[in-house]
Amino acid sequence: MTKTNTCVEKDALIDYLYGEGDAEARTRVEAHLRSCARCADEVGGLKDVRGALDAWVPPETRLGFRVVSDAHPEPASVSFWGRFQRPPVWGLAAAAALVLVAAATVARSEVQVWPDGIVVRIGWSATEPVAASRQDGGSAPLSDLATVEAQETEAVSGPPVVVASQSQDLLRPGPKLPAGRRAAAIDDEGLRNVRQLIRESEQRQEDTFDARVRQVEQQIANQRQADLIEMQRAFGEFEVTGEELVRRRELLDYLMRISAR
Amino acid sequence: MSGAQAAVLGMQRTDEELVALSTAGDPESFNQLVVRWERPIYALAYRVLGQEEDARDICQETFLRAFRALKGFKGQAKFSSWLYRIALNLCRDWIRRERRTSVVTPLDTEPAAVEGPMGSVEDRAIRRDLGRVITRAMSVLSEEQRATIVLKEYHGLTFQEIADLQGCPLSTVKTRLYQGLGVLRRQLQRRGVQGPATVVGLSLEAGSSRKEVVTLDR
Repeated sequence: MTKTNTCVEKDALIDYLYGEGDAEARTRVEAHLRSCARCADEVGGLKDVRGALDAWVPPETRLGFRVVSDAHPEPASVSFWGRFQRPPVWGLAAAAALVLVAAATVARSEVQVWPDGIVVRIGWSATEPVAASRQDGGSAPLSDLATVEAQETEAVSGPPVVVASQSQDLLRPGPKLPAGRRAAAIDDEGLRNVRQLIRESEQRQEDTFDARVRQVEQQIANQRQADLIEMQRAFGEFEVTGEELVRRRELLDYLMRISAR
Repeated sequence: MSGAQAAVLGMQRTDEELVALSTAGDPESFNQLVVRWERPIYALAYRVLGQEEDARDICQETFLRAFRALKGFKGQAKFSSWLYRIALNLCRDWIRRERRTSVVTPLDTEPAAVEGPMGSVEDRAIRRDLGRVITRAMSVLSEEQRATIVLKEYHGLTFQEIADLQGCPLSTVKTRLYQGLGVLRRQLQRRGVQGPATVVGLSLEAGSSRKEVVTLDR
């Protein structure tokens, strides 16, 4: 039993406070409160608390939830052809693998594993025989490097993708060259290729920039010409308007003179 | 007639009618229930948790769960009571998950200004300060006491409805109310609020009760 500060039972007090008791009990409590200051103070204090609770308001917030569709739709019966519209995961995986294989075939990819690295080469390269001869012969003397370089330079002038793949190929360590010379040859050839690529890129950027500048200059000239024409037309209108004003003023003066007579 | 058509025609369907339409496959009817009850559910969650952001999440989750379990609602209780039960269970789970005994953190929240006839700047400032004091005082109460007072004071549930919601005897509900109000009274006195109702002109007649919104199918 909960202790209360009043002579009235806790349940009766709460019933009275919230108006949920029967009428007889309510009358009894009211009569008691008129004669007992302690109970009246307790009930008054609780009423004050209830009144103060009105000031506790949740902050305004944006709600606006909406249900747009059933979160758990009933699984419908799937027809034979419907199964192909929703293929299983393994089917998708198999299809993806097929696409990859086909792409690798079309791209003529080539994977070479060397003791110190893996080379992956893709694309149709005009220098494929060079690479093949490297693989097959494997004993290209240093004197052949000039020939190789000329071929590489020729390949650089091809499409960018081929250049990229060829550059990758150039970075591949040659299997038969001595380690020190091989590194030097790779550095020189790679450096030349990179420089060539940078020169071409700069040239293209300069060309693009020049074309853009010429285009902007032409646009400015056209706009200037259009503005001049527009200004000339506006001044003409103003002049016409000025003449009209002068004519009207003269007419007004004439009318005033006539009327003054 | 769907819930949307009824809304256009200005017809107010009861909760149970909207539930029946929703169960029959009309999501717009459920959206009307959401519009009708989202504010009370949010207010309940906010006053129990004391966190605006979490109260909004609880509110959203309440309707999501209600929607998913709508076919299991057989009308043995009022729809609003069912929603309150879901929301209170979520609040209880949230409190246990966060392991917060003092869940109301007044520093994080700013009670909104009370709208009403007493719109002077001074009155509004007094009420705002009082709101802060009450928020802090509420944080002292136990979860059960706070939920009981909130359900009674702000949602106008009967003692029996609260007892059903909380799964406790009627007498326990009255005890929680009496003890909770007593704690609040002492807290308010300790924080310098003496007779707040007379200060701000608030006075509740015995038996009267404020409600968060006017419920349509009570």
